[in-house]
Amino acid sequence: MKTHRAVRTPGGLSLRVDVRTLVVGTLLLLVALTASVVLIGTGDFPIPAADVVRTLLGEGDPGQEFIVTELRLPRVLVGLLVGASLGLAGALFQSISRNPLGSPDVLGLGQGATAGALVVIVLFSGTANQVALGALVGGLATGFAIYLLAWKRGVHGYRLVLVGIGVSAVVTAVNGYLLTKSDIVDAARAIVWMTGSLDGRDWDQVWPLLALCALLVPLVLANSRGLRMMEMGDDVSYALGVRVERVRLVLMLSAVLLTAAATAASGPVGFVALTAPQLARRLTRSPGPNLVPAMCMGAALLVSADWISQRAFGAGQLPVGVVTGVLGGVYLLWLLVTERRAGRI
Amino acid sequence: MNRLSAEDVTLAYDQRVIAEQLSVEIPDNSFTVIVGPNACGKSTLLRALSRMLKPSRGRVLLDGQVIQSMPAKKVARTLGLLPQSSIAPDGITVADLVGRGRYPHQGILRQWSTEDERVVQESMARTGIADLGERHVDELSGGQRQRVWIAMALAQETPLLLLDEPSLGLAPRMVYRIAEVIREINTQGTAVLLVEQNAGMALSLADHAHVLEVGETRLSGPADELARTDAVRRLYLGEAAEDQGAA
Ligand SMILES: Nc1ncnc2c1ncn2[C@@H]1O[C@H](COP(=O)(O)OP(=O)(O)O)[C@@H](O)[C@H]1O
Ligand SMILES: [Mg+2]
Repeated sequence: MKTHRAVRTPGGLSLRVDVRTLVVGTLLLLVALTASVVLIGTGDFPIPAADVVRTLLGEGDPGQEFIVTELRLPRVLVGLLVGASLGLAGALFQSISRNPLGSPDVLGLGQGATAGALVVIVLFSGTANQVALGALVGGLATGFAIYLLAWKRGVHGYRLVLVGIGVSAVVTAVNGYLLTKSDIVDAARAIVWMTGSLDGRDWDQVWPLLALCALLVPLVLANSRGLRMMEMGDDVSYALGVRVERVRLVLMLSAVLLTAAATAASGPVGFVALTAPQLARRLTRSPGPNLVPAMCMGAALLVSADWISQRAFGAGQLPVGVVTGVLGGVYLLWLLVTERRAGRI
Repeated sequence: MNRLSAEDVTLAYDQRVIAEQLSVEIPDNSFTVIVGPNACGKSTLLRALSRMLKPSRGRVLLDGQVIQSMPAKKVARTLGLLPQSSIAPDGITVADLVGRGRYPHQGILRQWSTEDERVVQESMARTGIADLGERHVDELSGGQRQRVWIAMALAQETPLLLLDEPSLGLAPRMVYRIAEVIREINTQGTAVLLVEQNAGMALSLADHAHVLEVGETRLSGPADELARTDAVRRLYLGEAAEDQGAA
């Protein structure tokens, strides 16, 4: 069904708008924001949604204001940003590899970031900020390794996925080794970090992630038209005037940075990058990378999952990564079964 | 005037040389075919002509300029290419796919002009798929799908069009249909370079021909003359008749 419309001005300006995508994106954003408000109100000291909104607008009472803006808002913002980053990174990788399995989880970027964090925790007993830095470096190094190994006159879909799976297996083994080498205190800390959690996240995690998103999201979107063309194959897009290698390098680097930074902020929250783009695309029913809907979907998923974990098990009991892991695992199985029926695997 | 030419190019992947000292000229409005057995380097030549592969010796000129030195979008507005392999994105409609051919004429602030819309309609009409616009590409027949891709290349509105075996794997009736479409495109003023397995059809369609492998040499010249050459008749036209019978 044709849903896109053109918006044109007399000056020759024309924008192409896919109505369904716009509606889906807006709804997902509303879901994410609503879930955020509810999440801020959830905890040992519940606050009604109306009071949360009033406080966020700067008109709440001082007691609630402290809880909202100092304790719970930064945590929720980290959740929104991590979800959005992972959703976007997943959509980028899946589009570049032309494969729904080509997401950062499967490619081992999360595991790479984990390895970086584990090195800091186990070998140096570093601070939280040093752990985050370690995760960032680990994620970037893994992304670089995958790129080098998969590169042969351009990165190709299946090779990227297969190399990623191989790298992922190696890094997972390294992570296991690091854990066996750690003493019990570090090991406990490492395990908590490895499940992916928003507990205790504050403004220190918000600012760097927000700055990175402010830089990368516009850069990615500026290159997204080229990415849309690249879905038709390198040769076709090259013939259409897309600078294929450059676009791919910029977008892969952005996706690696987004994944590494998100993992540094919250630990590896599994499966959001894998599921968000696919769910978004099933809602928009639009071909193309669906970057913005995937981003909104990621944010909505992560914050909702955190709310579920807090509602069902109480604050601080169950890390959000466990919930997304369960939901994502079920989704992955469903994907494998349906793709198999459709004869694509 | 020659719009596009390869001058004494040597084509190689890394160290592996595919063809040496090859020259091809594409004048305005001309219809040229390239014929040759599998894996002799036809696609490689098209890759070089469309700046995807840099010749290791010699050069490719587009409107008098070395093609590598030109901006990507400018080349894409002059030279269209339908490669041998292309992927239709999941769930894309015919009109949407054809519309993607407008990419080199668009920008962030000019995403979908009335001109884009008109050219897409016209391209679909010229390839006989005007009433398929809202259909999904993956539910079309092979012949229809190939015409969608040709329409996409047409929507690029280039004075030069390179086509790499557009009728590969199609039933003979469809091959004929595609040939008609391409001849019509050429008649309406686009210079066409066609790579084609079916030598008989290729030589009857075109003005100029390059036969890339005739024993140890290559032959170039007017298509009708080449079609009368003994070696070409023996090596290509006999085979072509059998191919058609088998397909
Ligand atoms: N990307 C590539 N890298 C290395 N060798 C290639 C590549 N593409 C094609 N070749 C080789 O170059 C030769 C010519 O290929 P090609 O131009 O596709 O032949 P044709 O189109 O005439 O069938 C073949 O032997 C093929 O194996
Ligand atoms: Mg070929």
